[in-house]
Amino acid sequence: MTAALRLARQSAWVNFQEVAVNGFLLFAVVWQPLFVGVTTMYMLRHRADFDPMYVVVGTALSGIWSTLLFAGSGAISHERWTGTLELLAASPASFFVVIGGKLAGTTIFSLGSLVLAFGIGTVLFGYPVKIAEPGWLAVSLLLAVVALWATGMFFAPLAILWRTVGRFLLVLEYPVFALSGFLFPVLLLPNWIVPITNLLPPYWAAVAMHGAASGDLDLSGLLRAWFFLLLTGGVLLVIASRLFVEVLTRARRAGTLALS
Amino acid sequence: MLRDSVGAIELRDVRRLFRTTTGTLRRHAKEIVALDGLSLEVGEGELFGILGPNGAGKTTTIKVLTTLLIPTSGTASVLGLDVVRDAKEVRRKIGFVFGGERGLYYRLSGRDNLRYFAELYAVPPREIPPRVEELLELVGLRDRGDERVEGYSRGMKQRLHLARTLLHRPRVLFLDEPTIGLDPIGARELRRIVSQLHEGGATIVLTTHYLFEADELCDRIAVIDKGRVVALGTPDDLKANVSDLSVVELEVFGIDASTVERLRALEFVDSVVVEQRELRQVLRIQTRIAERAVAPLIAAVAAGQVGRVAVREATLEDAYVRLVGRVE
Amino acid sequence: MRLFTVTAFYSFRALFRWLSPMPYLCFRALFPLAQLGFFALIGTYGGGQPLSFYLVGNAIGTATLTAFGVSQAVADERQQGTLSYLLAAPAPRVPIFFGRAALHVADGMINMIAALAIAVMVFGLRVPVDGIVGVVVAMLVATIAICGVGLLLGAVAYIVLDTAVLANFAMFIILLLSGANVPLAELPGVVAAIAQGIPLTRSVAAARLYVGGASFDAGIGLLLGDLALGAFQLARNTSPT
Repeated sequence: MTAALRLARQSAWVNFQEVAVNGFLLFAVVWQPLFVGVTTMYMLRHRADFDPMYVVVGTALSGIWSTLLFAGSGAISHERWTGTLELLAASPASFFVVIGGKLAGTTIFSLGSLVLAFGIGTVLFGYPVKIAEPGWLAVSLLLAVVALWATGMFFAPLAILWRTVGRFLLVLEYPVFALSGFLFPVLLLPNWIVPITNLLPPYWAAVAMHGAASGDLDLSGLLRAWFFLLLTGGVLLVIASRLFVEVLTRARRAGTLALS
Repeated sequence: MLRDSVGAIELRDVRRLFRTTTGTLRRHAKEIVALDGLSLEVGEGELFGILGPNGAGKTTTIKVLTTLLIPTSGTASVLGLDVVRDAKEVRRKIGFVFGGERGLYYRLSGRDNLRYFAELYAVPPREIPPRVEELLELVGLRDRGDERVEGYSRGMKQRLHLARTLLHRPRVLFLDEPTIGLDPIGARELRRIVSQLHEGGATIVLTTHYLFEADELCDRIAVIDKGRVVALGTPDDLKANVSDLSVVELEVFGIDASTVERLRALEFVDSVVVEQRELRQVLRIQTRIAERAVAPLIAAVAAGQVGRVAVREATLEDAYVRLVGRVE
Repeated sequence: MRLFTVTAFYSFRALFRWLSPMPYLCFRALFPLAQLGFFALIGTYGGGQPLSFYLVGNAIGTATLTAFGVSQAVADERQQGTLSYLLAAPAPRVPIFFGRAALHVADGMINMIAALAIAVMVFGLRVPVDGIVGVVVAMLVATIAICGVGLLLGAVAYIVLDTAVLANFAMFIILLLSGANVPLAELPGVVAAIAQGIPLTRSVAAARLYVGGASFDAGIGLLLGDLALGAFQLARNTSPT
């Protein structure tokens, strides 16, 4: 176990250095949230009950989601592109742990969106930062990041096993922004969509983080959100671990690990 | 020359098919036979060469043995471990280098690349730093170890790959065309390291396009073609195959295909290889009658077209040409 | 990460263009639906403007997608070194570029029509019959104006960075400053002034007028303004340097 953790940590560090200069990722973490944050700040401030923290949290989530969606669905193909996929596959290390560690590195990088979102609220718009329950927000953020990381891990093998699905995955950016209640309540969506949103980790991430930041959710409500966050993320992670095995088995049968 | 009777590597009747699809509108599935019942045995401590033309199945063989491909049928084992069933155990004990520059993290330094791969191979954390230094020294990259790999030359990258694969002290090494694309000095340096490893007792399987390289390094050589072994033995064994042959080298200017065909048809000619050299070509003609072939050959090529002429004994390369009928 | 989406989309389309139109159409509908839905619902939640404000703004806003195709085409030609041959050819330049741009203009139009159809069918936007011609003209002007931006980006990208990143960047700035989602009056003074230089601002405003029931003449001045901006960019980026 400790060896696996060590490997995951090293993988995270290696990936951190690799992505730190990636223009695309910088875009997902910085520029896009900047746009989303500024635009929605303008759009939502007319509300009587306007709370800038709502935009800050929603913007941060949008950045984290974009990063993990993109990095997750590209995690395995990136290794194929650099030619390291075969080396990873033929090493005794667990492929799941290696990719998991790398995606964790990217996830930490994506937290830059949160810092940025605070900056938009305080520096650009000059709002005071008022977090109702900072401790609970921290817990919510931690669990949200874990669950979103699990979602990214689910995308990684999916994008390799079914290429068409992989291409459609990349379009899931705005739809998930909308379906998960990052920047407006899901109750505005048609009724039949709402149950679908409850299956998504990003939805519970938004519930927990908005709830803790505004203080609208009491502890029992938060616990419920945390529970579903871990449940939905956990289910995806279990499926992901099976899919990872499938990726390698299939690749060894078909000979598709190398770039060709 | 077997150092040990224990088989380090065994391939038993291994077949490997690839399915490809062609056409966009109507898809045709096509099966390509990469390995067609290949059987081989490599002894422990042996430096074993695999030669063959492109598409002969060299790389496929290596990939089966490194657990990256599952054989369609047949069995393969390394150090007594089945490459399919015991894949994870096999991976701990082997190292491999696929020729070329890819497969490194370009944004990391050479040293960091080695450190990371040491983690992947579960080298105990305390042993990692000294091991990395030792290997950087071995491949002559110690001074450049802190530079990013993206700035390395091709030869440096290939040497780093070699260091990478030695981190966990593998007992069996697979080197798939390790000197491909290297300049002569870089290639010589790499060959020096390979023989050093061989002397250290490692079992090494080497594929190469360069016959002199195989001749210089290998204890035994298997020539494979179309997924099967067509010859097996020490370099001297293989050369003995062509001891009855001599090679006439004719330098010619602007020879056409029909003339080459005419030469091939000559009764005393075994094979003809044309090598293009800028404005001229060199014909390498294998024949059993040595010097006596020269005059009729010059006559067969239009007179006046012929430049330098030489007659020499057959080499490993000529043995290879006789076996697979062509060179690349 | 629109750039990935769009890159994927283009490669996807290249792959399936003739084979099966269905995935292509799905993609085509999904883009505007997602973007339109996201901003329209935020707008609704914020309540600053009526829903139609956001629907029209973002439907015209989808024109920005055209910038990706155009800038990529220019960057590709520069990379392949064919641009100088084109410019050195005795044929007049502007028609060459228009010929090449026509495909992108058509593409952008389809995008916007899909977005507008979604706005009408899913979100219940009402476009008066008299306004249809005006809205279509506004779309056409918006696309041409964005083609100018695409050319500019293609040229700049060669010097600065990745075309796709730049196009994304431009798209965000345009969507923020063109008044598609935020009324220009709400922006700080300097920014609002810059917004007047954005080649979509007037098309968006004109389209809103037409949807609101104004006559064709009412928006013509605005549209001519954007057309002039677009033409200026086209001229500047097709003239020898």
